[in-house]
Amino acid sequence: MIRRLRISRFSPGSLRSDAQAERTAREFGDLVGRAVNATVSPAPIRFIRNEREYFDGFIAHVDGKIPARLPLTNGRYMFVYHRLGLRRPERYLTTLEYGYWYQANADPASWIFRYEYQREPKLPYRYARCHVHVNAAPATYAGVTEFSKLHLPAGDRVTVESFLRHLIEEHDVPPISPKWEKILDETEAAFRKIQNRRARDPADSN
Amino acid sequence: MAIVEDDYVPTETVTAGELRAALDSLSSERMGMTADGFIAALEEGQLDPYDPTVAHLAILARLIT
Repeated sequence: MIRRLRISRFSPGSLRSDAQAERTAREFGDLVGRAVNATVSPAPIRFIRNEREYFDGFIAHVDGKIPARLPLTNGRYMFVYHRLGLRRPERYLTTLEYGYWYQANADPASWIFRYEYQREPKLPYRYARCHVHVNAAPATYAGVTEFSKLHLPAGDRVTVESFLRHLIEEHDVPPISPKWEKILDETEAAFRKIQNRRARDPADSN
Repeated sequence: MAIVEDDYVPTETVTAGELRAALDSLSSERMGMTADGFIAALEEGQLDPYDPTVAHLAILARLIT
């Protein structure tokens, strides 16, 4: 069977039913999977729906049905996770949190850096909602908090594509597809299109 | 050429019970505590949320709570 990704369709707007939301979440999962599988890992990416009274689910590589790290083409590992839900009366599909971890081996303790985002953190929360932790300690740093625990601000949102580009360009992770740059440009453009549209609405700017 | 609209594959689902069982197994293995114990300790601020193992398990906990 030929499976063709319909990037242009991923601009869903208001999703009236959970079935529509589920279909759109799966398409978003396809988008993330295409980006990952063209670049740093052939491991499958899935959307798993969390059975609750409201729409909830996540996109990740899974072990069983649980988010799991995945091996990269350079022998190292990463963890990519997006949790999705519906927000606002219009029921827009929204990323509630994400995590992009780069780690030396399968053990989470081997993490090197990790990007994290939480849309609705438990209050009080005084950090940048989109931030990066770096597992390092500069000799010149004299702060009280361990450097690796600092929430270094990372802008409004870090796309999975920019994370994947970084792994290839600066960590020498061998790309899988010779067309990886074009594919990342396409999937990132699809995401930006959605993000820019929502940014025009102050009620949903994050 | 195949038409994508017809290639429907049912979405996988996970239940709260399955998530709790997974958290129970992982938190027992890595932290020596049950899922409920992990969630309670996390909510009471008894765990270091920046510890990578805690941060990883906290993702599962947020899917349950």
